[in-house]
Amino acid sequence: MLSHISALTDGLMWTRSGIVWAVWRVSPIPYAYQPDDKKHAARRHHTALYRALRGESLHLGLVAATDPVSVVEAMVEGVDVAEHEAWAAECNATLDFLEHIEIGRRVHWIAAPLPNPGAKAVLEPLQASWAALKDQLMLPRAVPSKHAIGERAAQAEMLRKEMPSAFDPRPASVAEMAWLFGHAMQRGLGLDMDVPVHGSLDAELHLTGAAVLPAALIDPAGQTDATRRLTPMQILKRPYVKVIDPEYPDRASYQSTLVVSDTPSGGIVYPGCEWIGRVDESSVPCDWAIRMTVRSREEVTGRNRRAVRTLNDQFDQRSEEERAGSSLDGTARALGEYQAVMDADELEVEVDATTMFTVSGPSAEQVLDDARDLTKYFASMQFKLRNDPTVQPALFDATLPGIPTPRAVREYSQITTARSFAAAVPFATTDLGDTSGSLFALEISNGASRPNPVFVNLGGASDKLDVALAMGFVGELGSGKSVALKSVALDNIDRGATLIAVDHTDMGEWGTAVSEVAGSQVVEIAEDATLSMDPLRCLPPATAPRVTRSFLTVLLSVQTKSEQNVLLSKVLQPSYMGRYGITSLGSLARHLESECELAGAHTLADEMRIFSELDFGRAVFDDTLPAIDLDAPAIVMHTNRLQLPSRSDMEHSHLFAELKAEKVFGRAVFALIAALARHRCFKDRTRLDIFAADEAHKTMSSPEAAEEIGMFIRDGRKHKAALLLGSHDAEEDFGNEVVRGLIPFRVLLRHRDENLARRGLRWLHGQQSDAQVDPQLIKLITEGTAPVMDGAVGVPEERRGECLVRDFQSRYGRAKVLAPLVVSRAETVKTTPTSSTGTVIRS
Amino acid sequence: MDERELETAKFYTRARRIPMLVGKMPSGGRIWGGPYTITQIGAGALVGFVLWKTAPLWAQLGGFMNVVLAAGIVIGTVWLTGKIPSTGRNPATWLMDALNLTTSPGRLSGGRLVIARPRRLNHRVMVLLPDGDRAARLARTRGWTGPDLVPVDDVDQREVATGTGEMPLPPLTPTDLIRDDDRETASLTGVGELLAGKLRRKDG
Repeated sequence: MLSHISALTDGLMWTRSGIVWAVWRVSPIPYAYQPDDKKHAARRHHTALYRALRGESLHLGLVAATDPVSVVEAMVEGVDVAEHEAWAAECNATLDFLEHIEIGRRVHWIAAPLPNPGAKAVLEPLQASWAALKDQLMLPRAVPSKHAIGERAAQAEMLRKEMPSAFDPRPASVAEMAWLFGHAMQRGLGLDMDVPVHGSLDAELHLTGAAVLPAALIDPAGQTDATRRLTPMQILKRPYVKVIDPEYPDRASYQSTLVVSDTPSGGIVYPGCEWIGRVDESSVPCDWAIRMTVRSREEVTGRNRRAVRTLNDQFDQRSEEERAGSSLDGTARALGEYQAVMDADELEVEVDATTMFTVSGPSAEQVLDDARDLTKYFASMQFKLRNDPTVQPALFDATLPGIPTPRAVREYSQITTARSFAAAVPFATTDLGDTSGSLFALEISNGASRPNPVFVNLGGASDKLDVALAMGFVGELGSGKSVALKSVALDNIDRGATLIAVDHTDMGEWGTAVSEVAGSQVVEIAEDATLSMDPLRCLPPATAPRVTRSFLTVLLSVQTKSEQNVLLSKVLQPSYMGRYGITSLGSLARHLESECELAGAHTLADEMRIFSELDFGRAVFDDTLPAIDLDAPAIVMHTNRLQLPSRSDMEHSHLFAELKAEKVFGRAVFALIAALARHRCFKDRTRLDIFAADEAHKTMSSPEAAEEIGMFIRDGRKHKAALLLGSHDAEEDFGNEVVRGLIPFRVLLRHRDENLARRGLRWLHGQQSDAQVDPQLIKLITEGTAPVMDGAVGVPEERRGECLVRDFQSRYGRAKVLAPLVVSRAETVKTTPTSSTGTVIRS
Repeated sequence: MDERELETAKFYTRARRIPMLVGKMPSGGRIWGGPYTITQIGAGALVGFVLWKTAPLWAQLGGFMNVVLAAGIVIGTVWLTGKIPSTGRNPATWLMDALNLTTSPGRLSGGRLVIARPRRLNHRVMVLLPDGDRAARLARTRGWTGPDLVPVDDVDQREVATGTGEMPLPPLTPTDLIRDDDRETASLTGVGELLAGKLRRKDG
C-alpha cells in the first residue's frame, strides 16, 4: 500500500486525497510543580489554542529518546576537553552511566488539514487523482508549483498566527516530519534518534538517505508470528499491530493504540487531574495523539437542538421503561447544562476529540502489559481506555499526520468545551535547566521512568537570561545540600572555573573535595595554620590597603570619625607603607609598636596584639607563613574553629560591648573572607569564578560579610562571578530580602519539619511569608523527598539527592542531584560529617 | 489555610450521543417487549430475512414447528444483541471491522474485500527544499539524484523518481546498540537502580 503523502516541504505535506496538511512543532508550557497562577495561565493558553483551531487537527506528544552522546556534547560545549582532562573523564563517566538508563523527552506537534476554499474543493482532489494516475503509469511525477507552495505556506501562516504565541508553533522541517514517521515505525525499540535540529548533520541524514520516509510492513495482530493461520477469535485476542522494517525484518515493533472510550461522568477536578499532560506519571512509556474537530458555538447550538428533538422522541419511545427516573433525565440535564455553558461564553467552542495512547515494545507481551497498566492508571481517574482489536491498523494511521480521520476514530470521540478539554493540559513540560553546561541533576518530575538531564551553565546561559549568577540550596541536615553544592563547584572547576569556599565543618569536607584539584589551597584558620590570608600580602597594592583598613576597622571596633581611623588611613597609605617597609599585618603591628611616632600608634598596636597573639590569629598575623595565591584554582577557608557573635550579641549593645575577642575576630575574618572572595571573583571578567558559602548562616552572621555578599550578588553577573549559598532556612540564613530574592536558581531538599518545609517552598516559589502553600508540596518535601527509611538504612541510595528545583528561567520541577560520576571524585564529594539520617557522626 | 480553588471540567458526550431505542410503532402502538435498540431491530430483521430466504434448507420440521423455530431464533438473536455491552462504538461497524480484519479475502455487502496481510506501507514522496538548504546543496554538488530530493528552484523541471541513490553520508549507529561493558567508571548508580526498580510512585 502506498502512503497518503505525495510531497513534503518545510511545514507542509501534500496528500493523495488533495488535502494539504500543515505541520508545526510546538513548545510545551512548563506545568507540574508550578505555582497555581502559572498552572491556570497554562490552561488558558490551551483554551485559546483550541478556540483558534477551527475544524480538524491532530495533536501529538511523542517521546523522543535523548542520545547520551548529545548529553555529553552539551557538557563539552564551549570547553576545550584537551585542556580540561578532569572534565573529559567526568564526561566519559557520564556517557557510560547514561547508556544504562533511558532518557528522553516528549516532543509536541500540531498538524491540521488546510481548507480548500471555493473551486479548490473540486480541483485539488482532481489534481491529486491525476498525480496518482501518473504515478501508476510511471509518468514523470508532478510536484506542487512554487505558486502552490507559496499559497499554502501563507494559509498555514495565517493559522499559525491565530495560535497563542506561548506555544511558539513553528513549521516542522522536512527532517522533523521524516523523524516523526521514522519514530512511528520503530516505537518501543529504543532505536530512535533525537529529533533532528534544523540544518544539523542529523537532519541531512534524514533527508539524504535511501528514502525520506521509511517503508514499513504493517501486520495487524502480528499474524506473521503465528506458525499456522489464526482463527478469527485468535486474531481478535491480539489487539496490536506489528510494524516491521522491510530492511531489518527481525526488528519488529509491536504497538497497541488505546482509545479513550468513556470519561468520568462527574467530570474532572482542575487543577490536579491533568489527564494528558501528566500521563508520564503513569510510568508507562507512551505516545499520545488527539484527533479533534473544533465546532463553533452556532453549529453546536444547532446540534444541541437536534439532540433535544431526539431526546423528546426517546422520552416518547421509552415512555413505558422510563417511569421511575431514568438515564434520559440525566441526559436532559447534561444537555441543558451544556447549552448553558455555550450560552454563557460567546467565545466558547466545542472540542470533539478522540484521544489515543500508543504503547509499544519489542514483544507483544510487553505491549499488552503496558496497555493493561495504562488502562489501570486511567481507570483510577475514571477514564475508560479501550484496546479495540478490530481497528488497530486504522488507529496506527490515525496517529500520523496526512491521513484522513478513520471512521472508528470519529466513533470514539468525546465531546466537551475548549475550556474543559484544556484541563487536560496536553502541551505540558517539566523540562528544567539550561541547554548545555554541567550535568547537575536528572529531572524526575514524572517519576523516574524517563528522566531528563538538567544542565547548569553558570557562566554561559545565565548571561542571556539577565539574572544574578547565584544558586541557593536549602534543606535539613543530611539532606544532600553539601553534596549538591560541591558537585556544582567541582564540575565548574573541571570546566575551567575557580572556586573560593568557606568550610565550617570540623572534618574539612571542602578540603577533601578539592584535594584532587591540582594547586588547590586550604587555609586553616587555627593555631596549626600553614597558609596566611593576610590581605596586605595576598592582595595587589592597589586594593590591599582598603581591604586591610576595613578588616582592622571591624577587628578593632574603630569608629569612622575617630583618631584611630585617621591613624589607620595614614599608615595604610601606599607611600607610607613603602617608606617603612610595611608588607604584612605582622610588620604593620611591629611598626606601630616600635617605629611609629604618630599619636595613638601604641594603643592601636596594643589592641592589635590582643588578636595577633590569639592562637588562631596566625592565619592573618603570622608573616612567616606563606601567603595564599589568589589565582589558585580552588581555595578553601576552613573556619570551623572560629567563633561568631550570635544575633542577640549583635542586637543588644550591652552584649556587644562584652563580646569575646574570639567572636570579634571571627566576625572580622568572615568579612575579610567575603572581601577576598569578591576581589578574586570580580577580577577576571572572562573566567567564571565561584564563591561557595555552605552553612551560609555562619557567614551571614557577620554583618560586614553579609554586606559584601549583597554586593557580590548584585554585581556578580557583570564579572562572571557566581555565588553558591547553602543553609537550612532561606528566610533566616540568606541575609536580607534582596539577596534571597535575587537568587534565581533555587534548590529545596528534604525538610522533615513541616514549618521549615513550608518556608522553603515559599522561598522556592518567591512568595510572601504568609502565602498559602500547596499541602501536597509540603507532603512531598517532608515525606516524599529523599525519605529516611529508618535509623539502620537511612536514605536508600537510589533516593538520595531528590529535591525541588527552580531554574534560571523560573521553571519548576522535581530532580535528583547527581554527584560526580567518576568514582574517586564522587567519594571525595560524599565525605560528609553527618549520616543520611541527619545524626552527627563526629562533632 | 492552604486551601486551593478547584474547578470541575466536564464532558458532554452523553448529552449528545443519545442511544436510540424504539418502543413504539409508527402508528403509536407499543411494541411488545420493547423498547429495542436499533442494533436489535437490525439484527432481528437480518436474521428473519436470512431464515426466510433459506427456508428450504432448514425448514424440515413441518409447518408450525418451522415458524416456532424461526421465531425462537429471531427472538434469541434480538435478546443476545441486547446483551452486547456498550463499547462506545456502533456494534455494526465494530462487526464490520472485525470481519475486515479476520477474513482475507472476504466478502461483505456483496463487494469483494481484498486484504493484503500483512500490508506494506510504501512512500513516494517529493521533498521540496529551499535553495539555500544544506542538504539540497549537498545533494546537488555531489551530483546525487536521490529518490525524493527536489530543490525548489528545479520544481518546474519535474524529475522522475529514480531508484535508491547512493548514500552520500555514512549512517549513524544507533547509540542504544552500543554496549561496552568493559569500560571502567561508574556502574549503575542510584538513579539506575531506581529506574530498574521503578520505585517512583511510592512517594505518592
